[in-house]
Parts: sequence; C-alpha cells; structure tokens
Amino acid sequence: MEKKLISYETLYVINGNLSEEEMKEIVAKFSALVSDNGTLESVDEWGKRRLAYPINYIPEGYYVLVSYKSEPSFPREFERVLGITDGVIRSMTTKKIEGAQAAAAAPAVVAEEAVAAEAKAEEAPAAEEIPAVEEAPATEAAAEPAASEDKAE
Amino acid sequence: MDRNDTQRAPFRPNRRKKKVCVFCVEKAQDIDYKDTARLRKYISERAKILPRRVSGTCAKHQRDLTTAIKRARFMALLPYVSD
Repeated sequence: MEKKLISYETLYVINGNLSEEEMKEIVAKFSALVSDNGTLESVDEWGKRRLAYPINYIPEGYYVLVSYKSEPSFPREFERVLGITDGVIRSMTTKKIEGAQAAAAAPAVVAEEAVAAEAKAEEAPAAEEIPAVEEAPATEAAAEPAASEDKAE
Repeated sequence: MDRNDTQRAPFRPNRRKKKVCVFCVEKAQDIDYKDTARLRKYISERAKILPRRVSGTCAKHQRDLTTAIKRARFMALLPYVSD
C-alpha cells in the first residue's frame, strides 16, 4: 500500500499566562512532532488573543495554526499528545477540503466587498429582523383569502 | 379553480425582495470556522446563531455555518453567550 497523505489543519490554544519561552517550547515541540510524522506545510502563530470566554479562569490564549500533510492515523495521535500537554487548553483538527484553497483565496476579495455591503446592513439589523417576522403571517394571510374565495365559488 | 387562479395572481404582488444565499453566490466549498469576522455577522447580539429567515442562507450553507460557528465557539473564538 502506498502511503496516503491527507491535508490537515490543527489549531491549538496555549495558556496565555505562560511565559514566552514556555510557549515557544510548546510550539517547537509540536512542529517537530508534525514534521516527524508527515510534511509540515506551515506554522501560523496568531499570537495572543483574548478568549471569547475564560477557560479555567484563563482570559487569554496564544493561538497556533499548523497545516500539514500526513497519514490518516496521525491526527488522532497528535490530538492525544495535545490533550495531555500542560499549557494547551484547546485544540481542533480539521481536514482541508480539496479545492477549498483556491476558493478561499479568491473570496478574500469578494469578502471585502461583502464586508462593506454587510456593514451597511449591520447598521439596521433590528429593522431587518422585524419585517422578516412579519413576512410569514403576511403571506399566509394573503394565501388564506384566496383559498376561501375558491370555496365560495 | 381553473383559469381564475391565473388571473388572480397579480393581486398578490411579491413585495419583498428575494434573499439569495451569500455563500451560494460566491460558490463557497466550506465555511471556515477560523474566519471569525465573517461568522460574527451570523450571530445575534446575544451570540445566538441567526435563523435562516433572517440571514437568508440556504439550508445547506446554514448547516455548514452552524458547524463553523460551533467550532469557533469551542475554540473560544466566538462566545456561547454574551450580553
């Protein structure tokens, strides 16, 4: 059997209270682990970010995104090691979808336009919500008289 | 029933502009859970996922969007609740 390599992407969060060296150590350790078990494509360190909610009373996390190619058995092992490493508070591995990269690169431009367009829409989200609720009864009401008229005839 | 139906149709004009799924328009293959700026548009002020009738996404992309938001929540990129 030929080795079957699949593209994966793992995002993990390191406890933001750790020192710079400790974080670097963890990142280096995982980068090494990945390159030993597959081909490391990129390590993208997002840096410290405020967590949307505190995890174990930790307010900040250091996000690292690793993309790599490996055999299908490796992500499980990688997740296991992430899970037992102190200082890693969250991790997630996803399979990259073929063809999504091209699509992901292009929408960057589209996304910008969408942001501009939706920024306008965002100014009046409440206004948008109300008519949407009204919509259903309105169409029903419109449909009902028609139905009763049919019966009358 | 019969021909009257076709004649009656103009009495109910479609006032509301039809919403088109944004993800279908750009032929999105998948919705990235890491793209928080994007996902934020599909959650309410209280961080609830917006229903389809509000966001206008199609059923398929609403499902993808939901998983993306849930993943982002797990990674603490988006809140579960906020006020």
